[in-house]
Amino acid sequence: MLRSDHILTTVDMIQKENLDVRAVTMGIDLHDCRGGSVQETCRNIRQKISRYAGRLVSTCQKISEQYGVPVVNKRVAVTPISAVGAGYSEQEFILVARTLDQVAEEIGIDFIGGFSANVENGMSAGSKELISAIPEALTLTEKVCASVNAASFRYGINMDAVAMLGGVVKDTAEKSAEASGFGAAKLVIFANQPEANPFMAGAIHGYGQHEAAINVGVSGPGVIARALERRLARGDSPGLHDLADEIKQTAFRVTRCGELIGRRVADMLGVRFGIVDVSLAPTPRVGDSVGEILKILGVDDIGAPGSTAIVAMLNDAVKKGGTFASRSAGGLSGAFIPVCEDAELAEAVANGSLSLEKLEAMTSVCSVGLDMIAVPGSTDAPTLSAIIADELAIGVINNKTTAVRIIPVPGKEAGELAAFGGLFGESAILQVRNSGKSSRFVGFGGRIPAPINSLKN
Amino acid sequence: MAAAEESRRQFVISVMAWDRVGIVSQVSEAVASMGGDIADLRQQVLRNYLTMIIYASFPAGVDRQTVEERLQLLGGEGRDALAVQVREIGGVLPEQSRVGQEDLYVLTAQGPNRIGFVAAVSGFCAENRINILDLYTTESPEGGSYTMILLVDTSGCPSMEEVRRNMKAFAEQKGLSLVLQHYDIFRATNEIRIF
Repeated sequence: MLRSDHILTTVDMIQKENLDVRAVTMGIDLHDCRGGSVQETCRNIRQKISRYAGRLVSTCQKISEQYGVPVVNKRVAVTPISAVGAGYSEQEFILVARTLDQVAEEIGIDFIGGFSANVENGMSAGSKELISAIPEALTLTEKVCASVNAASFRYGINMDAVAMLGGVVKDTAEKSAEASGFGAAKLVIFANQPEANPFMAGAIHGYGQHEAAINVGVSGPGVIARALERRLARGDSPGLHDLADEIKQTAFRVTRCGELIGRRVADMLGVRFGIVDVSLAPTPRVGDSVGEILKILGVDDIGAPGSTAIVAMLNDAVKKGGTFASRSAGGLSGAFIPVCEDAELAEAVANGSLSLEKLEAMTSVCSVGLDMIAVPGSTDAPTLSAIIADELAIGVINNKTTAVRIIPVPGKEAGELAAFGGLFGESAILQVRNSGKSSRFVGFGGRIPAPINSLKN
Repeated sequence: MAAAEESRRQFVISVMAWDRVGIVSQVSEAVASMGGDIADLRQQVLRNYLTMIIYASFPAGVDRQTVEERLQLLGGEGRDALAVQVREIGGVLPEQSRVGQEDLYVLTAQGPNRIGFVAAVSGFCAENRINILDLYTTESPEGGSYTMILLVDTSGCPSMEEVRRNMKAFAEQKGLSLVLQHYDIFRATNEIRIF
């Protein structure tokens, strides 16, 4: 039998420290669902998703009960719909979105991702129609998530798309004004979007993937926080390298739980096991916060000088521990800093210590970008586009995934509270300094060329 | 195990003593000197007290009493004395059957230290047809809190759902914290190679 301290550590991790598997996401290829009419396509999509994922929820529940590890979200990610529906009109894409929503409801999953397009180099007619359909599609549906890959290290940044997307984000938020602009929380704009990724709203089942696969997103900021507290309580004056090592070992354990659950679910469903997204994904629950880890690691307020260095170390240590624990790590692996979904980060925004600019700096060294940030509803579309461009530039130049999920909350100004409920949490609205000063830049359109891959300075 | 097992006598030997250097060596040498062939041996040390269980076969001419007396002589007097018990088994003990991985769970029980703690938890296991394969207990360094860790086989349980339900009621009734989790989780989080 294992040593008692190992057993008790594992028991505490699951029982007291909020370890869970954040998401089990089944990726399903829908390329073969195209029919002669949009109705036929919708029928095919519905049948195929039901066939593969009909037992996803019950299987996750069964495995979750057997192992005593909660699986918080059950999701499906599909082939980017712009590809399946190439040639459809905006209204026809909305029909497809409604079908995705219906089938998601029928099989009982939490979200379905893939109302998506790739436009990093240029925008096809189909992609343009899909992007135009996003505001209405996200308003008419509950479970559908949309994403757009607008930049990559290979092609640079498609600024025509970015210019359009600022307006799409704003429209989407305004269409769901009574829910504080929540529609925009289901839309992510990416640079270097991973094609197998379990986390919403950016999950897709991209090109070159299996027919179907189970991808898993782990979590566990609470587990890391408690491990660090125990390490510090030893009182032997650990250096940051000791703390990084503690994070690494704990990330190994957390990831292993995800790997185990994912493999069992895949086995039971008879599909391939894809990747584990080795992530620290917070929830608004107390004790499940990435922000808390930053404070334990030595800043009194998140956003204080040192925050970027700390999050860099945390992100790296999590990846080191997690990749060794998994046969195949992928997705968005790293420490997430989604403001609304993390009580400590939200608090730092409320007390003014964490600004949009500092968040942007932190995202240059961690996963995944400006995530779940609420800004004033009065922020103009070109400013939103420019915020998106800044974040995508970090991804393109540094050859990493970055993303923007920003909610311009209709009718609210900086400092007011925006609440989205459940795992989406709440936050004070961030101030956007220098709003309205970027329209000439955004107005140029065109493309920011792909970066040179040498002379790394 | 040596050939012609059927013609040999099969003994289970238990040895208990204060732990010191050389006990296993003395006992195994004595067994060998009587022609004994050790098939299986386990030892445990608990708070400096050793217990050892041996399964061995001996030539037909060696009887139970001879083995017991010979081993008892090894320890000497007082604190070094060995408490030895030998039992003859009619036939050969089969290899321990392996519990299916699916049915292996770890049960942890934590609560205030009191008389009857172990009896209550093991009683719960027995009532629910949970077989205890391995078990140890620890007391918190500050005292007061007691922890039992049990590796259990649940293959005899008609329904895990029912076990969990009963466990919840039992834990509430006794004021204990009981957690039942699959052994794979512990392997996954603590061992390098598991898949």
